[in-house]
This record gives sequence, C-alpha cells and structure tokens, in this order.
Amino acid sequence: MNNSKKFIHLYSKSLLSLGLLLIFILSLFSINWEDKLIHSGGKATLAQISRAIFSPDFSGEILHLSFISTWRTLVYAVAGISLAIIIAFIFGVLSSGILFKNKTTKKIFMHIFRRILGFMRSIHELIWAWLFVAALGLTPFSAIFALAIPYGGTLGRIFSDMLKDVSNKPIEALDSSGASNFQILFYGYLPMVKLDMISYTMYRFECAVRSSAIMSFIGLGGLGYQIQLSLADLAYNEVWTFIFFLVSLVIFIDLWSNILRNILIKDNNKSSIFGLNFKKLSFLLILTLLISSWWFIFKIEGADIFSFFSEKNYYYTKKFLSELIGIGRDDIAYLNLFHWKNALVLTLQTLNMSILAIGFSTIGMLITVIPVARNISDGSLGRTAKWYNRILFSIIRFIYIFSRAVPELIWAMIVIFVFKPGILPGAIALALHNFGILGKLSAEAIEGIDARPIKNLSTSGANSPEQLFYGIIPDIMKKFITYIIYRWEVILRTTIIVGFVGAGGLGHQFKLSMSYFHYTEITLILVCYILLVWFADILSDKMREIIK
Amino acid sequence: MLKKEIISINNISKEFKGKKALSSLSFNIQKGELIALIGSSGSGKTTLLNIFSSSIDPTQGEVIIDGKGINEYKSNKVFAKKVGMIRQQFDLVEELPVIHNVLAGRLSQWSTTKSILSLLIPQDKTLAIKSLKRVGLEDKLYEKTSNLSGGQKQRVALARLLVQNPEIVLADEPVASLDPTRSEDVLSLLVSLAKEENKTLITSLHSVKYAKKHFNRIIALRNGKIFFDLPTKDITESRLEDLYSLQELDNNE
Repeated sequence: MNNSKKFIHLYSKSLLSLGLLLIFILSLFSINWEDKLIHSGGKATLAQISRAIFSPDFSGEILHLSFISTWRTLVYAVAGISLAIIIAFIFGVLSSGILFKNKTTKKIFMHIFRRILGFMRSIHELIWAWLFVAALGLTPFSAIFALAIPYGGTLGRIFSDMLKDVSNKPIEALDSSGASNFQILFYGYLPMVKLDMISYTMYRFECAVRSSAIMSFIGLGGLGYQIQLSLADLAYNEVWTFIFFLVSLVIFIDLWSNILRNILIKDNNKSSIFGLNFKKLSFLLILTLLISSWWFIFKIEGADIFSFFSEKNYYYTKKFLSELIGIGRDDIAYLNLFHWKNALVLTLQTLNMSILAIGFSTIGMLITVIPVARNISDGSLGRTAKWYNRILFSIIRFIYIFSRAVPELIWAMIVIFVFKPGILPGAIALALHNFGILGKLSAEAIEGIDARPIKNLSTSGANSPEQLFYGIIPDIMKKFITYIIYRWEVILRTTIIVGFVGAGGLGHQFKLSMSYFHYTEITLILVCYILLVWFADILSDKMREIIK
Repeated sequence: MLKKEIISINNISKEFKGKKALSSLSFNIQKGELIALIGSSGSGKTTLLNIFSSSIDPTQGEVIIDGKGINEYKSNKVFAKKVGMIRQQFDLVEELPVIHNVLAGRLSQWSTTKSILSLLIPQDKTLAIKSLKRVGLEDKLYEKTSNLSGGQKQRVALARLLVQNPEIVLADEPVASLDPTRSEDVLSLLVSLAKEENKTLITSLHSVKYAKKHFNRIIALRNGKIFFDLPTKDITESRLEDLYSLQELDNNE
C-alpha cells in the first residue's frame, strides 16, 4: 500500500466525520438567515406553548377524551402490527431462502422477496395511507393496511436477516437427521431467533403507536387527531395533555418490552408483578389486546374486510392507478421537462432538510450524551461521580424519551406555529424527534465501552482528556457514525411527511398536488422520493464500508 | 551491587464485601528482582498486583514504593514513571493504530495538547519505532490494533511499556490467553527487557513451569496468605505438590 492510501485507510473515520461536518456546514448556507425565519408573533407563541407544558389541561372532559383517543390509537397500532407480523413472517421466511435447497430457486426467491419487502418499506406509512384514502376513501382497513405494509416490510427484512445469521451447526444436525425444510424451520430456526424476533417486534410496536397517532392526518381519530384539533384552536394546554398521554403510552410499552426482554434472556420464569408471573401476564396482555382491538375495529368501527376487497374497490383502485399513470391525459407531469426540473429542485431541498436535521440532532446528542451514560454518571469510567450527576442523568434521559415519543409530524405541527414555512422548521421537527433516539443509542454505546483499556491508559499516566481522546473516542466513533448514518436514512424517508404541514420539499408539493388532484405529479414526486431513498441506501452502504 | 528496596509492604489486608482477599502480607522487594506470583485462581495474585499499581487501596497496612507511601503519589503521571502494568491482551485500544497505542506510554510525559496533537501528527515517532523494533513489530506501525493476533497485541503492550519506561513492571497473567509457543515468546521477551534495563518485574502466572524457568524468586499465595516465598533454586517438587494438594483438600471441605 502506498502512503496516501495508507493515510486514508488509517484515518477513514476521522476523514469521514470531517466530510460529513463539511456537508452539514454547506447545508446551513442553503438557508437565507437574513430573512425573517420566525413568524412576527412566533416568539410569543413559543413562549405560550412552552408555558403550557407546565399547565396541561386535566379537566374531566379532556381526560375522558384523552383516554378514548389513546385507546383508539392503541387499537390501530395493535391491528396494524399484528397484520405486519403475519406479512413479515411469510415474506421474511421466503426471502431468507432457508426453505429451498436448490441454489437457483433459492437465489430467485431471495431476490424477488427482498425486492418486494424493500418496496413495501421504502414508502412511508402516511403516504400509503394517503394513497389508500385517495383510492378507496377512509375506512378502518385503509389505515390498518397503510400501517401493515411498511411495517411488514421492515420487520420482514429483519426477520430474514436474523434467520440467515442463524448458526449453521444445529441446522446441519437437524438436516442430517432427516428433517424436512419445514421441520427445520420450526425446530431449528425459530427457537433460535425467537428472542430477537420478539424484542425487535416490541420495538416496532412502540413505533407503530406513534405511526397510528399520525394517521390523524388522513382523518383517523386518535391522539394525533385531538392534537391537531387543539392546535387549530390554539388550546396549547390541551395539546400537552394529549402529548403526555402519547408519551406515557410509549414509555409503558418501552418499559414492558425491556422487562420482558430481560426475563426472556435470563430465561427467568419466576419474575412476577403483583404476584403474577410476568411471562404469563405478558402473554395474557398481548392476547387481550389482540382480541379487543380487532373486536373494536370490526364491531365499533364497523370495518368490513369483504367490502374492502369488493369489486367496487377494485374498480376504484384501477381508476386511481390509471389516474396516477395519466391514461387519457395530455398533461402528464412525469413526461414534462419543466415538471422534472421543479421536482429535482424539491428533491435537493428534501435532501438538504435531512442533512440539517441529522446535523442538529447530532449536535444535540453530543452536548448531552456524556452525563447520561451510566458508566460515566456513576464514575466507573474515569470521571469521579459528583452529586449533580444523578440529577443531570435523570433530566436528560427524560428529555430523550420525551423527544422520541412524539412523532416528527406532531413536532412539525408545533414548530410550524413558530417558524415560517420552509425547510428549517421541517429540519427542526425531524431533529427534535431523532435527537432522543440518537442520544439513547449513543449513550448505550458509551455504556458498552470496555473499561480495561481505559483503566490501563490511566495507569500509563493519562489524564481525563487524554483518556477521552486515546480511549473513549476511538472506541465509540465507529458506532456513533453508524448510528448517525442509520438515523439519516430514516430521516430522509420521513422528510416527505413533515413537508405535509408546510415544511417544504417534496412532501409539501405532494400535499398540494393531492389537493389539486394532479395525480401524475404525485407519480413524479413518488418516483423522485423512491430514487432519493434508493440513493441514500447506496450512499450509506458505501459509508459503512469505509469505516469497517 | 548495592541492594535497594523498591517495594515494601507491611501487614496489608484487603477485604471485598467482608470477604478476605488478602490477609496480613508483609515482604520486601529489591530493585532488579524478577518475581513470579503463583497460586490458583482466587488466591489473591491479581488483588496484590492491583494494590501495587494503585488501582485499589488495601483495607489495612502500608505500601511503600521507592521510599514513599503509595498514597503520597498524588499525580498518576508521576506514578506512571515508577510503576507500569501489563495485563492480558485487553490493554490496548483496538480501534487505534499500533503507533498510538505504543505512544500512549508517553502520555505521562506529554502535555494534553501534545497528546491530542500526536493523534494527528505522531510525536516522538522514533521512540515508538525503536521500541516496536525491540519487540519485532516495526512493520506493524500503522496497522489497526484489532487486526493483530493475541501474541502480537501482547508485544505491542510491551512496546508501550518500553516507551513508558517505569522502574517497576507489573504483569498480570500476561500469557493467560496465548498458546504455548507465543507464551514462551512473550515471557522471555518480557524478562529479557526487564533484565537489560535492571527493572523490577513482578508477574502473576498460572504455570509453575514458566515461573521456574524465567524468574529468580517465587511467591506462592493461597487463600490470601503467603504459602511460601523462596528463591527459585530452593523450590522443590514436594513444596509445589503441597501447594496444590492442600488446595484440593480445601475445595473438598
């Protein structure tokens, strides 16, 4: 290897971080900071909204409404995720290729089903929802399928990866004992990946609750819907009440899945809550949720699976698709150079927004992450524990969980009250949501540090900053960059959503075109969006390769 | 040669949550001695070394390093010139290139600014190259440490110790996770480096064979007490049998 190559290889992580920092700084220039970015009354509104946090409306009427809305949000999340699990299981098994012995069949199946899963998850649930509603109108199943399809895509991909990563030895043993491929699936693969599957599904369930809340945007009732109504009434105290309910629901699921995971890992059957076996309790809770949710959807919401798959809906779908393609029209947007130019500008804006968003959340994370890592907070890694560490730890941890429990779209609805429409409020909303996730992941990365090399640096005479630069940063840099890239991918997929409420980019145009029934423009926007997501996938794969 | 006491411990005990790890140990160590600590797991070898390296404090008793009480060394930078430690191969920062892991031995000399600058432009590079040459790894200067084998990592840790240049070298099971050829390789390197520079070396070992081959004084610990403390030439097979057979009896109780 020649010298310059060696240098690049050696400092790949530093160089990549430097490059990413430069891109972020460049993206800052895209905003005209001279302009008035805040509404004339924006500061006062911000103050009002902030004050309202401390005086949420807990009157009987609002509480009653909160409970009903929380229930509805939960019901749709449960329905969506249960359907997603079925989709994910079937498609995931097929795309993992473990059912096929013949190499060519295996390859073909894996390829086809990976593509299908990829397509399902590349379109955000709200876009699916909007497409369903535009084609078929608002029925319970529009919302449920809108959730189930992208969630099925993500879960299916993860299930498939888990199955592929299963250790070979036990599988070969089963194979040589004459078990069929189906038997191997149930006796070999599934028992080995069960734990990971459950714990990842629980995490996605938490996300599904957030997604279910923002289905309000297509008119589905629930917490998101109430937040939207109260915001329109400028009743910020009510807004926070509903948000607190959403946050509590998310925290409850988060805690529950953490406890369940720990019990399953330790294979501890004796853990109990209020004298009841926790594993059994969880199982009963899941069963109750499933039955009551589906009962609610069929009985109270009047969902009808047969009318959803009726001939009438088939006709509407065909009509909607032909409108998207623009059959029989002469002003087809995706064949028009002017429209393309316009769409590409918006695509760039969207990209820009995603970079700003990840930049802001990274800055927020870097400022807050040190005091919230348990091993630093309690003084076991380097710094001595101070009395204020515990307080700081709790406050920031709470901010993390709060910021991530509120979906991007709801942050955007609030931010847009303060900032003028454009990519800045979109980026801020995305950053507010992702900062909590990034912070949590990064704190866990610091907690995972091997303390031995750091202790040894201290024995070699290194002081705290030296331990930071020689021991801690080299250890966590790779993980941090990986998380940042991963969150950037997610953010890019979501930029289109925050655009709906006036945060610029492709999403904003999507909403406008939808309301003017310019369906061929929708097609063009979706093409640009999918291209962008695809480009992000390739780029992030490349970056991951660099830091490997 | 003038004998000089570099370490002396007086009646030290250490308890962990009420359990005695060491009880009332006293002995002296002269400058330049090569000492092996033997005894089965849990006999207190690592605890003793951790007390010498000032990682933990004894519950009772005093530790004198080169004429000064161990707690009188206020700065770990000064202490690092007296005492250096090498453990199993988990000493190194895996993500750093070899050169920076070696130069970490220099942190006791450098200012913070110089230390951080060195991550960009390696300082005292010739020193790093010299010590890597001594351990036979000069071609790995810019290799990522995680790419090295266990034995190579251990030699990098030795190179760091050479750069740090402490008067006393502590080694805690330095060859525990290495295969026999590499163990022999690393141990003889460690001992010959210590001999050349007249350093005091205290190593804990599982293997009595290595202890007898490379060291001139052997201290055997059992249940936190000294079982014997003898020049290597006075160690007899029956002594060793006692050490381990008694242990079995203990375990059967």
